[in-house]
Amino acid sequence: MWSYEKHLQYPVRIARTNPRLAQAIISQYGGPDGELGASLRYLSQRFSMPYARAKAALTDIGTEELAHLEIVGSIIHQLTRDLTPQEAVAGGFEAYLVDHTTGVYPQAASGMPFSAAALQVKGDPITDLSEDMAAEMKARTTYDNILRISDDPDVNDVIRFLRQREIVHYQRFGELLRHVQDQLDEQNFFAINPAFDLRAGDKGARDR
Amino acid sequence: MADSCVNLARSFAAWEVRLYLDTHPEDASALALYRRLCAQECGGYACVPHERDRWSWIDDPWPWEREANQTGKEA
Repeated sequence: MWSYEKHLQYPVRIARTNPRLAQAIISQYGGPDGELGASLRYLSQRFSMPYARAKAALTDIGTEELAHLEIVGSIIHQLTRDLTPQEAVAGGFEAYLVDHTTGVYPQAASGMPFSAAALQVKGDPITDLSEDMAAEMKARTTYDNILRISDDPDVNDVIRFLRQREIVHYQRFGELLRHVQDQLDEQNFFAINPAFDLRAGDKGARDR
Repeated sequence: MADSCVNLARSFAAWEVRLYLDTHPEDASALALYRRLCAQECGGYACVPHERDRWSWIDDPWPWEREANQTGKEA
């Protein structure tokens, strides 16, 4: 289960209203490579993961992604908090305003609502960890693209923090993938799916 | 900040070491660093119980596993 800490993992203090930027950054709230998808992916992959250190890392990184979801939502909120209808029109924010006013809705920058179709839980440790490494890089690229279009230093400071976390998580998932391969037949890592073919109490290939 | 016990930097440092320990559970110096960070009064969200000499946070069973949900009626 989870408990809640009443503070952000990294502080968000944005001075300037900017609905155009909010509409771009919202992709990391509910877009295809966003924090909501990341969290759901890792927390869901845990159930079939046979290796203890991967269970721990998926739990901890999946939890951190929820903290990042909250940070991204805070950025959207502060970028639109004092928004006037005139600013919404000038900032290309009319469509969003009509649907959600200044509420924070999980959608991509394109307007597409959040979809679990952008993530996978395959039930195979090598497959899932490979997906996780790719997911971290996709999120890192998204943050790089946000930094390309944003000139707000208050926003960019937080985006750089989030971008760095993607790189750290990528490193951890890479270590897990190597660890899993170390438990398998080095002549053919893919001979079996250790989450399916080694069940029924055969812990031999599963160390911790 | 309303809660003077919240120290974002120290909590984050402990969190970062925790993720490292998940993939390096045998690293004694990292475990010692984690214990130092969490020994402070305000270690915060990053600090979880574990055995003194081992990163036992990773140990089975995990909450979704049957073995973690004994009711006492089962043998």
